[in-house]
Amino acid sequence: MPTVAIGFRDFLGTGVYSGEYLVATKEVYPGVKLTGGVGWGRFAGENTVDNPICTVVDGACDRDNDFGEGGKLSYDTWFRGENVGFFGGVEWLTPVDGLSVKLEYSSDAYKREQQSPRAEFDPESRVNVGVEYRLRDGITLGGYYMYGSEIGFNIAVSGNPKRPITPQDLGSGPLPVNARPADAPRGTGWASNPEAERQLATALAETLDAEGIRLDEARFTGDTVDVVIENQRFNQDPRAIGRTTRVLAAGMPASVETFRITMLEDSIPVTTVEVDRSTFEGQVDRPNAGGRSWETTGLSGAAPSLGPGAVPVESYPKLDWSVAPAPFLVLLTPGDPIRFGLNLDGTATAYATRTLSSTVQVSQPVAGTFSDPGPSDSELPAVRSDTPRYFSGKNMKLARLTGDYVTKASGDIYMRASAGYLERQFAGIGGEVLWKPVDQSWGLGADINYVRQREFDTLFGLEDYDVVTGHASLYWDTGFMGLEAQVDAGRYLAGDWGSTFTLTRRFPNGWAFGAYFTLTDVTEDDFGEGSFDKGVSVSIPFRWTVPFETNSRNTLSLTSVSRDGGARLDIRNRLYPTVRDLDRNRLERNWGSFWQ
Amino acid sequence: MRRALAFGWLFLLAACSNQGLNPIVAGAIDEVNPLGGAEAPAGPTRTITRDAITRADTATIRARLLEDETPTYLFGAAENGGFVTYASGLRQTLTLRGAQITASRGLGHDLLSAVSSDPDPLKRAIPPTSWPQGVTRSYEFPAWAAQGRIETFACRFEFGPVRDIEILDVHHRGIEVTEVLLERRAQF
Repeated sequence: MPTVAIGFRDFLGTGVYSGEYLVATKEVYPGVKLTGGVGWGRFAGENTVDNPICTVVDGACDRDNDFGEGGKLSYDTWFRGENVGFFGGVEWLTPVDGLSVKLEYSSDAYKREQQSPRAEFDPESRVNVGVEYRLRDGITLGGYYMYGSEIGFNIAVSGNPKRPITPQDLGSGPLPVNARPADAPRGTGWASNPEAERQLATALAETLDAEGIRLDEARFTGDTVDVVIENQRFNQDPRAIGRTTRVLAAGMPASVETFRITMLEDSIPVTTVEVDRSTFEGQVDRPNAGGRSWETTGLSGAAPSLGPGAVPVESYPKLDWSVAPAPFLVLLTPGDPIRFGLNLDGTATAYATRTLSSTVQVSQPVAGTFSDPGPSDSELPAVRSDTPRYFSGKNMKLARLTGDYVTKASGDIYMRASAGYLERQFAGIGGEVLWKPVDQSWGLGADINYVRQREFDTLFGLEDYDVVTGHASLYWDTGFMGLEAQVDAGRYLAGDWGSTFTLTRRFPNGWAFGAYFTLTDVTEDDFGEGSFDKGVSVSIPFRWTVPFETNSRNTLSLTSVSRDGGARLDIRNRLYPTVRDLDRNRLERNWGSFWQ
Repeated sequence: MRRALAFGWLFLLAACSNQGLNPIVAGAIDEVNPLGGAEAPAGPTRTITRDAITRADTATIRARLLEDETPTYLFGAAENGGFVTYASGLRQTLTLRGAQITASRGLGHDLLSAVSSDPDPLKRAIPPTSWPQGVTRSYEFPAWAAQGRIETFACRFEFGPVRDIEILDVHHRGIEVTEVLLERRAQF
């Protein structure tokens, strides 16, 4: 039996390329595949017959190609039209490993491309040929000769999020540990000696630093040690918790029976993990230790600080800085279909305390610069449709200059206040509150901001436009297939009111696929092309691509044309994304790495 | 539609910060040389000899991946309830119970734990004449959960000829025994 597929093209855009098809493929001879199909819309331009659906469905011969502003499902045009077209092809998998040759007949007449008085495109042939070579699994190179006149090339990169592209783990193992001898002295006098505590904290910090874990502070009592750490290396937080537990087990006096490890994210103490030392010693190196240790480990919302008696390790004030090249690629912007270039970004954050900081980020265009495209023709306040103007020119841009205060009111409540130049296009003041217990699969948040639009061509200038914007947010980890739902309702930058709905699938290894749409009281006409705001995003952990530990990641976004309806402030340090990965559900999904 | 894509990570390799190089570059360097340049032993790499091991008086094993030619020496570092963990200078670790490998880190795909049916001559030495016909082994591999993924294999023992082998200048004579999977093909 042949393999059969049904397809839809441009079903959510402006409809210019819309078409539907039914296609079948079969290997008719070893290495030779034949493909044949029938199509509607763009596929019904040449080699056509009457649409058979017309004979059984009234109005099926009419295909309305006026899609307005687009951006909505065009289901009322699917499989309609007077004609259907036939297309087909053949693929030969050559004896050269990975090399294939393709030949196809296209039924697309490219009529739209020839309608403009300035149109020069006139396909000389309906037959296209191509050669593809699979360089390795996941990477294919292609070259094509199309329309009888054009050549093209492509590189296709593919991968399975569940299967890293690196074959094996070359990372270092955890610190081997022994259980305490039964006769080890269990005195607690050391815990009342400040100098001994300081030396112990320093030694711990140095050992953890070698693991890629930063010790912020510690507190010692005779039978319990509290440490506040930041995972700077591991893609999976339980692995950092496990490594820290091993360091404590190897280095703490025998009287210490309880390890309490508090995880920092972006300087916020999020979750405290409590490990019973004797239980840990009875599990290390034994079979099925992952499941057993999860059952015996305690989790709770971290307190805002360790309180009196804590030994500070990280000294404040301190300065973090980085300089990084930032290449960019922007596709399919109207009038400028492909744009790429390079910026040099510099960021510095000065911490007065762990909770109070100031950040400056500048961006210097280096290559691929472009001129000011001029103001947009939006019917709404141009809060996003002028985005290209803010990236134009060769002058250095001030991407961010803020003062931030981030803290916890209790174990479950997080707070953030930010003021200054919050993002490239807006300056102002704002605050955010999040309630997210560690043991709960959902959380509630709210933010409110007063902002003024920045001038696109100066570092510090402000426009007249100002607005109060903010949202109430519901976050829910559904527990099903790693799906996470988020609803934000409130006022957007253009003063419009509405809601954003986001659904994201998060894989335990750090991959994430998300999609969102926003509906506000802005009309489709006022919104412009796309009708309403929507988009998808992909987040890829670098650990997936390299055979050693790193918690760096990259996020790719595919969004609508930047329009003004449904636009939100681009705040870097929103609370929920910061604390999300340290709740009970997500830690459990990765807990097996505790022993790695 | 407009696609804003973020960008080849190769460019990011050029980044730096007050914490040093880009984390990816730093990570790679750490893995290759976890001791750091300052603490790395000077001069040519020493060859491990029988005399050196004898002088060190430390349990030592030699291990290598199938695709590697050079073996790694691992030294006894911890013992917990009969499970002995050996660690290399690069902090690769192997945990053994008797002669049975029950866990590995940094040597190919990590093995979290392993159990086997009794009697298992790998867990506890048994004269070859008393070996059982076979053994069942269960291996725990990393999974996206607290408990790892368990794979179980039934194996039978095949006795071969008497062989002489030499391990670091010491000759040993023994019977070659092969474990053959009964139900499916696998390699680990």
